[in-house]
Amino acid sequence: MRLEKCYFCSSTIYPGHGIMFVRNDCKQFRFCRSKCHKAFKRKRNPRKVRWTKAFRKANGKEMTMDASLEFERKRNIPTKYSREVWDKTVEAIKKVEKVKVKRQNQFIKNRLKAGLKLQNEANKKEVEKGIYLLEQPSITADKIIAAQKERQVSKREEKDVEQMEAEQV
Amino acid sequence: MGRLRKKRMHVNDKSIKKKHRTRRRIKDLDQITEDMEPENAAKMSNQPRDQDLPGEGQHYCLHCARYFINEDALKKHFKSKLHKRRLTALREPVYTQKEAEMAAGMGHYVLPPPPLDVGMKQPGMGISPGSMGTSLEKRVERKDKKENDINDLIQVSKQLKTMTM
Repeated sequence: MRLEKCYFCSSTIYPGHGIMFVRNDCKQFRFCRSKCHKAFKRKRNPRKVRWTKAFRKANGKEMTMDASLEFERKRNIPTKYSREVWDKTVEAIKKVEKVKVKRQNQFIKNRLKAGLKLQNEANKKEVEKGIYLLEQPSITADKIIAAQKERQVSKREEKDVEQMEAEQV
Repeated sequence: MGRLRKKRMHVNDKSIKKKHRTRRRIKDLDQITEDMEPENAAKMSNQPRDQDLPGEGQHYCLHCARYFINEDALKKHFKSKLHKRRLTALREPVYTQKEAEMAAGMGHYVLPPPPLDVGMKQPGMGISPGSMGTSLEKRVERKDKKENDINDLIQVSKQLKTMTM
């Protein structure tokens, strides 16, 4: 039994599922479902279709280089069955999967950090711009009145100075 | 005339369905990149005469895998958007089953290197490099010509002004 990978979306194809297309030069293409088959028939490039694994990896959305990705392989030489090996591999698969998931999650977290930083900066700017909305209206009213008074006083002083100058002349 | 039908139109759109049937399948990009290799390219562009093909198979566009009836049609095609779009598509690395498996987590995902410049792999096409879009020299020439024209125009306008003064 062999678990194949879909040509288009890279998902696992279990026996009895999906469809295979054989091109007139004998090349085989396996698809997990009709969605992928149709996309292939329309000559879509999997690297440019957002929902495929190829897109996510090619555009840095997912972890691409890691030691935990080296375990799953296509092996063309059959291994002789032994109970011990079987048990060990099953256990190893579980362990490797755990590590892989952990690292992938960490990768995505790190990737999203840049966005968080930008968001924080944007938030800070917004607060600085609209801080007057947060103060009590009475306080702002007082401030406005005080400012008006100051202006009036300064104007009066100017007038006085002008008068003084006129008298002197 | 009654109201034109608006719903379920795409169900009846047979052109798309017919176009994408496997029976009518035309060459894929990976097959074309194979064709573009020097030995194959020479073969594809110098095909023996075949009565069943358009233009007896003498005017073939390697990149679009299409036969044309004569030299003029082929030249016109080289200038078309369809052909240029195909060239840009061919500049990207070919997608393979191996890449699908790498993306699925079987080994590191490393993008294969892009193929050599598409324009380079066109020996014996019988068409001048103009088919690959205008060359740099031509573009520079045109630019110079444009600038010269503008300078001439400015001079003429100045002369006219002095005349009217």
